[in-house]
Amino acid sequence: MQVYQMYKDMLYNVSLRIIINQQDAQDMVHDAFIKAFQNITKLENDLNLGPWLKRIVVNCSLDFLRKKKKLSWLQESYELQQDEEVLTEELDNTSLKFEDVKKAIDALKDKYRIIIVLYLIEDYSHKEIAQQLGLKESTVRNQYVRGKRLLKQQLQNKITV
Amino acid sequence: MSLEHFIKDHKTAFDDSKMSEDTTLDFEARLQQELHQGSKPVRRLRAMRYVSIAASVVLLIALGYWYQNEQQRIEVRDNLVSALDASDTNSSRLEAIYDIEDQLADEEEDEKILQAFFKILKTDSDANSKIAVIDALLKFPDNQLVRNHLIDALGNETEPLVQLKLIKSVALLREQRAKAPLKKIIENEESLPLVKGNASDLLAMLNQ
Repeated sequence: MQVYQMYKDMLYNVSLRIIINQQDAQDMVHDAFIKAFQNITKLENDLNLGPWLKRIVVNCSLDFLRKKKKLSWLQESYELQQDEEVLTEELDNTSLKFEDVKKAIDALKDKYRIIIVLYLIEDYSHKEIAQQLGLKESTVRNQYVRGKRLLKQQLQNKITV
Repeated sequence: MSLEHFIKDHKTAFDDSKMSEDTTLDFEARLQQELHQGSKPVRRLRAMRYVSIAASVVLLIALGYWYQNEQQRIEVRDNLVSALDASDTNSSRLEAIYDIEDQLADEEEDEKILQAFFKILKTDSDANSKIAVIDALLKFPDNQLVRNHLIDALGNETEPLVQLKLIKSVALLREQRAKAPLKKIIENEESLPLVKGNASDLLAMLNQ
């Protein structure tokens, strides 16, 4: 239970960013701990416990969304042309508030939010995200660029309002 | 600072939620239950029975579903185009464009959708939406109407980011008719040097 107390909030935040719903995120944390305890022999180095648990909770959360058919966009995703990143003007850093950014990320559709969260916050590479979601790496990169564009657009709207 | 760096720099601040303490007891109970559970084969057999029932049901409804599919496709398209027309903010418009692109990805170009996209290219002032529309239109490089509208847009556009995107697009299309709008950009004193440079490069390429 010591491990549970130590890591539960960290895992809860990871899951909450992916599935948004608090109750479901709590269930995912419990599922992740159960899986971890059942597979504890697979952990080769105790120092990796935190990242290992994080990976498990990410897997559980994505499986949960798959079961709820909230990842149906994966079937819609397709190979796009390499979408070069055309940046609009940089956001004014002084007017950028963390709370606004967090809200804007949460407001993104699953297909953009999950990729943005895994890449920018959980430090997954595009390749790892592609493997996790069963997509091509180029599709992940494209969805990431789109998500970032939408995020900027939302924040620009907020700043200009 | 870019948005990307802002998020990365504030990564730890995202971990600001706490799990309710009440859940600890639930977890303890569940842990006990899971780690001392009955035989797995029984659970598997039960699951297989549910799967086989579900598979039968799926087979029965598959035929009816297929029949409805075409009607639904048309309805989806109309809803998407309506959503695009009704979008009143830049972000909702951008999202509507992406939705159309995703959901109708494997289909032939649709006149209704193309017209909605052309309208954005002509009238909308938001650069991101225009760039997204250009990306979407480039999926139909052989469509003459698409090529015409991209060339027209190149001649009329004044926003530098969109101009750059259009220059790259007509370069991909190797469209000789782009020469006139490119000259117009080069001769325009208000064009940014970067845009002029790209236009000159493309013009030189087309003249080769």
